[in-house]
Amino acid sequence: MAAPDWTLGKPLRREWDESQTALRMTVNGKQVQTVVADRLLLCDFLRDNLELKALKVACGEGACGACTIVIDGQPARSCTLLALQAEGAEIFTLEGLNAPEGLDQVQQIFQQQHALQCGYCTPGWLVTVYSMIKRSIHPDSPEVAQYLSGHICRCTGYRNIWTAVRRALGAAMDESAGGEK
Amino acid sequence: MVIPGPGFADILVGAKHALSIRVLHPNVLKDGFECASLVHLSSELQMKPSIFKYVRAETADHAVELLAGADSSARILAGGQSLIPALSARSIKASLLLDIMRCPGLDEVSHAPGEITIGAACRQSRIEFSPVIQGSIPLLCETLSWVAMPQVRSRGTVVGCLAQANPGGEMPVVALALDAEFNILLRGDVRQRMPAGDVYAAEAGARLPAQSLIVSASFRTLTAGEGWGFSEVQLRQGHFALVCCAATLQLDEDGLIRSARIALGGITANPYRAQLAEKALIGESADNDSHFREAARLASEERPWPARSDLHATGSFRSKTAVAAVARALMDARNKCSWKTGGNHGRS
Amino acid sequence: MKEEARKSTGASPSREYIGKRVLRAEDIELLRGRGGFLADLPAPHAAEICMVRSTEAHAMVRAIRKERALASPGVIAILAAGDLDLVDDALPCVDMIPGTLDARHRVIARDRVRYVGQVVALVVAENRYLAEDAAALVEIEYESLPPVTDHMAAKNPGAPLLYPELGTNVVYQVTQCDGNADFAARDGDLVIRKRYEFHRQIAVPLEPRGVTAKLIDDGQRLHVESCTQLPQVLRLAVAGALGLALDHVRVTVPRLGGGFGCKEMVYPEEILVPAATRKLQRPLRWLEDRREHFASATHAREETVDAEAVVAPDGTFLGLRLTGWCNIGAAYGFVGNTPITAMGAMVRGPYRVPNLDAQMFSVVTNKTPLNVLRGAGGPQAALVMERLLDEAASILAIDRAEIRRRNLIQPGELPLDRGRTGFAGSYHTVYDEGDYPRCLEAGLRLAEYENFESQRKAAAACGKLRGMGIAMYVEITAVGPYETARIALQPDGTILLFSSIMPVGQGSETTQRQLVAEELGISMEQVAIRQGDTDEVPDAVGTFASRGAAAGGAAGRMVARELVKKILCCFAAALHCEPASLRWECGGVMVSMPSEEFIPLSKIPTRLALLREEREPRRIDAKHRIEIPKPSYSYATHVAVVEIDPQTGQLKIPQYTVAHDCGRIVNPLLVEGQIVGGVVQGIGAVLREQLVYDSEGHLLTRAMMDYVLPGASDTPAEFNLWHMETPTGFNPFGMRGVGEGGTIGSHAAIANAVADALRDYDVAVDGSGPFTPTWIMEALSRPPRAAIPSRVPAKKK
Repeated sequence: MAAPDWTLGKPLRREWDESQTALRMTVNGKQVQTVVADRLLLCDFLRDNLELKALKVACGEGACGACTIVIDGQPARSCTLLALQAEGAEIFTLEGLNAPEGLDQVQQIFQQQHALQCGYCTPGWLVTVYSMIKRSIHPDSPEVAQYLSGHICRCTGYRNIWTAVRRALGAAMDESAGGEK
Repeated sequence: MVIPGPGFADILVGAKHALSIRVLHPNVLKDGFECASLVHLSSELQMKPSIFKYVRAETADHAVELLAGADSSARILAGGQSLIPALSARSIKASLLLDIMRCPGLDEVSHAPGEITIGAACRQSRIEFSPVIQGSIPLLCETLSWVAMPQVRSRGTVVGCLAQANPGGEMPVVALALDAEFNILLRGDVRQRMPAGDVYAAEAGARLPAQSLIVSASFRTLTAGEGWGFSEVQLRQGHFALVCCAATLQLDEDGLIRSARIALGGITANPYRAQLAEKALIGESADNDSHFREAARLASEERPWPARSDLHATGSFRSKTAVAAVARALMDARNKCSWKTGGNHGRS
Repeated sequence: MKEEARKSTGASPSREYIGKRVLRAEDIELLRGRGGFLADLPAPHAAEICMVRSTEAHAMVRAIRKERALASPGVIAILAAGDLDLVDDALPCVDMIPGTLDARHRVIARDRVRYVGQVVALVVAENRYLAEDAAALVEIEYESLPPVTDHMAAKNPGAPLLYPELGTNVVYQVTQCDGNADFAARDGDLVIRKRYEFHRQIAVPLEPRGVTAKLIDDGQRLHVESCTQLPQVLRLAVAGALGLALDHVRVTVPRLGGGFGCKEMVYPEEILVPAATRKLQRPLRWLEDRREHFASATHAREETVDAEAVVAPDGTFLGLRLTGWCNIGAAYGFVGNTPITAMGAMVRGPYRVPNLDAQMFSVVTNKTPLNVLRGAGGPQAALVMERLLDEAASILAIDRAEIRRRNLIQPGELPLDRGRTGFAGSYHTVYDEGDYPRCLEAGLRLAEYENFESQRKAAAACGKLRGMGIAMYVEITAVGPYETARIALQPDGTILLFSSIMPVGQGSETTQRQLVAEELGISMEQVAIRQGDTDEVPDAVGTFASRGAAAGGAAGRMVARELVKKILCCFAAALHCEPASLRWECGGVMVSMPSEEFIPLSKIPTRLALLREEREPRRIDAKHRIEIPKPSYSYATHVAVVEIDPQTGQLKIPQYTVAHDCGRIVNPLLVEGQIVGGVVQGIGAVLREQLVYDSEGHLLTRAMMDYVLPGASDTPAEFNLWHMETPTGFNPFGMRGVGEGGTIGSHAAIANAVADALRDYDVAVDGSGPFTPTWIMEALSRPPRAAIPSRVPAKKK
C-alpha cells in the first residue's frame, strides 16, 4: 500500500489510561492512517483531527443531520459513529464533494432559491442531496420526504429547501437523460 | 425499580452525579397528564462518551468468548445508531464494545423453505431495497421505510434494532407479526433459537441469555395471496412511533378471513401480538370494514401492560390511536391480498 | 405604490438594488462549508472547558470537592467562584425600571443554586472528553431547598423564596394604561373573562453557544470570541466583571448559526471563560453541547394572563383589563422583563380598544432564566387579543372578519399614541403610519376566507376537521436608541463597511451592502462588509428586535453620505476650490475644474493622491451615529388553515397566508425567507415544542428528540405571501423590521384555526397549547358544545 497522505491524530499521552486503536480510512480521496482513542466520535475525528469543519455537531444524538457525511457511498450521521467504526471505509465530507472552486449546480440552485439562511445546517443538506442524486431519486418520489426528514433547519421553514431540492433532482435527471427539459 | 442486571438488556437509567441511581419516577405535567420518563434521565449534561475499550470481533464465536470474559456492562456494537448516542449522553456506560460488523457470515441473507434469515451485520437500507426481501417479505421493507430516516438506516442494522428494543420501535413489531426467531450463539458454540414472542415477553427490554450474541433473525416469508400492512402514528415524519401496527391477512376463495396476524407497538414499551383480535377476525368477511374496526378496538384493549405515557403522548392517547393504526394496517393488508409470491408489489 | 422616502443630499442614485431579489454573496462560502462559525475557528493551544452544572433546582452549596477531579487525566484546573477574581458578578439586565428588585443573574453560583443547569464550577482540560470525565468527578454537596417551578404558586406569600433578602418572588412590575384605566361595562355590554396560558419554549438555533478567550498584545488585552448578537454589550460586561479598562477587552464575533433571541444575552459562560483565561494565563475554549443548551440557554414565553374584555353589542371593544405573570426562571435575562411588558404594550395590536389597564409581573422560579425569543412577547400578546375577538364574534354572532373590521384603527388615525404602555426605552407607545384595513382585506382575499365553508364541508366529507384562523398584529421593530456605522474608501478604491449588525441568518451582509451600494451609486461588488469586532465598531446597540435593516441599514446609508461629504471636502482641498463646484453623481465625483470630469469612486483614492502629489493613495474614513428616538411598527394579517385527523389527533397545515407591511423592502427574497421561517417556527411552537419540568425542577426535555422541532413535513403545502410597503415617517428611509413577525402572527392564527376546527366540541383554546396530538384527542373526547345563545345578558363589572 502506498504511504498514506496524512498521518494524523492528536497523540494521546502515555499516562492517560485510555484505550487507543489504530485506524485507517480514506477521506475525500486521501488515505488516513493514525491512532485514536477508542471513544472518539467520527464527527470529532473529522472536524478536529482532520480539520474538516464543514460538518457540524449540532445535537450529538443523530436527530438533526448537521453532521451528515457520505460513508461507503451512503449518507450517514457522523455523530452516531465512532471513528473506529469507519475503519477501512471511504468517507466524503462536503469538502470532498465541492467543485474545485465556486458553486456547483446544486449549490447554485440553493443560492438562487435562498434555501439557506444562517448556513449552519447547510453542509448536511447538501451531502444528502448529492446522495439522492447518486441514487437517481425522482423529485416527486415519496423518498424525497424521507431524506428531508433527516435534517432540521431552524431558519428557513423548509419551503425554499423543498423547491431547491426538487429543482436539483430534476436538473440531475435531465442531465443524466441527456435531453432537454 | 429496574436495575440493569446480567443477561438482560439495560433500560436506560438516570444517574445523579454518577454516584446514585434514580429511575422511572412518575412526574405530573400540566393538565394532570402523568409521565414516566425512560430515556435521558441523567442529570449530567455531557455529550462525549466515557472511556471504554473497543474491540473488533473476528468471528461470532470470538465475540461470544470476549463477552464471557467481560463484565456485565460489555455490549455488542453493530450499527450503533441507538448505542452511540446513549453512550454520548452517558445514559449508558460500557466497559467494552464488541464490534461484530466484520465477523464472517453475519452479513448474509439466506433462505430456507418459508423463511428468510438476516444476519446481524445486515444494514437496514440494504434489506429495505433488497429485491429478495421485497419479493418475499415486503412487510419488512415497508416497515423499514418508517424506521428513523434513510441517513440512519444506512448504518443501523435490522438485528441491532431488534436487540435494542427501543420503546415503540418498529422492528420488534414486525418481528412479532412475522413469527421471527432469533438465532443466538452462546459460548462453546451453543446455539439457541428464540421466538420473538419470548424475547419481548416482558413489559420492556429484550430478554436474551446472558453473554449471548444474536447472529441472525429468521422471518417467515409471506404466502401467496397473503396481504400485509403497516401503519404508524408519529408526531412528525422522522420522529419516533407513538403507536404502530404490522398486520398480515390471508383470505380464502370466498373472501373470508382465514388467518390474521396483528402486532401492536408503541402503546407499550414492548410490542405484543393481539391474539384475541386475530381470532375475532377469522371467518369474517374481509369486505366489511367494521370487522377490522372491531378487531382494532380489541387489539388495543387486550394490551398485556398499561399503556405508557411519556413526554410525547399519554397512555390514553396511545390506546385510542392504536385503534386507528390497527384498522388502517388491516385494511391495507386486505387491499393487498391478491399479491402473489415472488412479485415485487412495491410499497404503498 | 413604491414611493421614495429619502431626503435629498444632492445625490440621485439609480434604483439598482433596493427592492431587488439580490442573491447573497455570503452563500458561496456557506455552501462550500466554510462558514467560519465559532466552533470552526482555529483555537491554537486552547484548552477545553466543561462546565459543572447544578443537578439541583434549589439548594445551598455546602462544599465543592475537587480532589478526585483534579487527579483525572488531562485536567489543568478546576475553578469555582472563589478562584475567579470577579469584581462584579452581576450580569446585565437592561429592562429594570424603578422599583424593580435585583434578581440579576450571577456569573457563577457561590453559596446557592437556583436552577438545574446553573454553573457551579469549571473544568479545564486538554480536550472535551477528558473535561467531561473530570466534571463527573467534581463532588458538590448540596443542601436541598424546596423548589418552586410554577409561577402562579411562586407569586403567592408562603412560597419558597429564591432570594430571601427580596422577601418575594415577584421581582418586576409594570403598570400600563391608555384612555380611562377605570373603564366599566355599560348596560348591554358583553364582558369576557379568560385566563390564557403560554407554555415554555426555547430557541434551539442549530449552532449551540461557544466562547473562546485568549490574551493578546503581550498579555495586555483579553480577546474574547463568542456567539453573541451583542458584541459591544459583551465587551462592556467583560470589562466590568473583570475590572478591566474597556480598551483592554476586545470582542470579536464570527457569523452566527441562528440566534432568535437566545444569543441576545450576556451569559455566565461569556464572563467565566475570559475570567479563567486571565487566571490561568492561557487560551481557553468552551463549546456548548445540545443538552447543556436545553438546560442553560435562555428559555422563553412562559406566561399566564388574566384578561377581561368589555365589548359593545356591535362587537367594538371598549377596553381591556389584563393581569399577567411571566415565569422568568431563576434570574433576569438581558431583556427578561421585555416579553411580559410587550403583553401590555402590544396586546391591542391594530385594534383601537381605547381603554387599557394592564398590570404585568415577572416572577422568579427555579427554572432556567428566561429571555426574549423571536417575537419577544408579541406572540402571546397577539394571541390574547385574537382569541378574545373570536370569542366575542362567536357570542355576538358577528362574522370573524367583520368584528375585526369594526375594531381596526383607520389610516387617518395614525400616527396614534397608544398611551403609557411603552418599554424598550420609550414611555409611550406611538404607532406610525399604516393601513391596517387594507392589510386585513388582502389577507382575507388571498386566503379565500369567503369560500372557506366549502373547504370545511369537503374536508368533513373525508372525515377531517378543518378550521381557519385569522390574526393580525402590530410589532415593535427597529428600536433605538441609536445605531452606528463606519465606512472606509480603501486605497484600492473599494468600499469597506463596518456594520453594527451581526449576520445570524437574516442576510444582513447582503442587505447592508445593497443599501450602501445604492446610496453611493456603485455596484455591490465594490462593497465589502465586516462586523462583530469591537476594535472596529466599538459602539453599537446590536442585532435584535428586527432592527438590522431598518436601524443598522439606516446607519449604513447615513455613513455613506458622510463619506460622500468627506470625499467632496478632500477634493475641494486638493483642487483648492469651493466645495460647491463639486457634486456627487451616481457613483463618483463630478469636478468642473480644470474641466468637467467624472471621477468614479474606484479611482478617487489614486486621483486624490495625484492631486496631492502623494506617492500612496490614502484611505478615507467616515463614521456616523444615527439617533433613533422612535421605533417603527410593522404589521401583518395571518390566516391559517388547519386540518385535523380525528382518528389520530394529527394536525396538518394545508394553507397559510401572510399579508404584511414592513415598509420599504430592501430585498424581497430575504424578507420572504424571514416570514416563512418565522411562521414555521411558530407552527412548531404551538404544535409540539414544550419544555417540561418535573415538580422537583428537573428539566425533562433535555435533547432534540425530546423537544420536537418542526421538520420538512411541517411546511404548509400552500403558502401565500403578499407585501405592501407603506413608508414610515419614524424611520429616515421608510423601513420597518420584518424578522420576527412570522412567529407573532402564527401563534394566534393557528390557535384560532384550531378553535375553529373544534368549534363543535366543548373545548377551550385559551393559550398556546401546544396542540399536540394528545391535546387534540383529549379535546375530541369532550362532549359536543351546547348551543351558545347569540346574546349573553348584559353584565356589569
